[in-house]
Amino acid sequence: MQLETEDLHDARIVTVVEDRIDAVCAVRFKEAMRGYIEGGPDRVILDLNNVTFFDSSALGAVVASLKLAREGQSFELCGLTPPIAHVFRLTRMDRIFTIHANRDVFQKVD
Amino acid sequence: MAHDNETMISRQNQTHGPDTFGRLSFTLAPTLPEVRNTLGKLRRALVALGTPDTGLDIAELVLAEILTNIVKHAYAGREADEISIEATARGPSVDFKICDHGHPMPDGQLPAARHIEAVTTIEDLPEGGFGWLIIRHHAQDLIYHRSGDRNQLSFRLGLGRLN
Repeated sequence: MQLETEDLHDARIVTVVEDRIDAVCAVRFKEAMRGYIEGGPDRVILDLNNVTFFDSSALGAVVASLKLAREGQSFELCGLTPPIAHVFRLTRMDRIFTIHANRDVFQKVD
Repeated sequence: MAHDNETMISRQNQTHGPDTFGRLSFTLAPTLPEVRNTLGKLRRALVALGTPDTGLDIAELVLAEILTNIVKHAYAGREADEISIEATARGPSVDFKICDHGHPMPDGQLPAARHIEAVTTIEDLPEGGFGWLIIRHHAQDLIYHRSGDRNQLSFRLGLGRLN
């Protein structure tokens, strides 16, 4: 499970490099996210733009990540590809998460 | 018999397009890496049958949820035995039959779809249980049958738009 991080101002962007999050890697993914969120800046953004396969195991790991955010810290998402957006809509998780179209919005801030 | 990723693809009809008719069968050992491997093969086989991209995504997602449940719950870590998949493509839809020799479904019935409540707190959000919501949303004529020590799940997937 390859993840890349970039810290910009008050936000940390975590990018999933691989194209799938499934039951094989969901537990490792969740543990890696814990490391980036706990002790991280006030905003942690997960960029899913490279991910084309995302099942309910992946959704469980992302929900677990949201629960790890401390008071005053936000966990947000960006770059949902159509198959991921479908899973969020179907499970109504699109109403729970803050979802941005892509990461550009963070990089233009100065 | 070996568990090693046997794939057979037979086509009764070589014509491509909406009338393509084909039958696929796969067997796999009940492990998560084998599930991932088989989903790749299924996807490639459906591409060869002319399935559109949205249909490929539906098929891969629904099969992932079903096969992962079988590995985690029916076999519960036991790696003996195997899972078999038969898929028959009929124009815009595919009929699936999936068999395993694991534990039966709880109470002998398919689990219900789980929705989150309209108003919920983040702490109360479930982290699991969404698989059957995904399966039930897409699978038509979903039938579970336990016969002896065998589970059989049959259903049809339309391969149209994701929505």
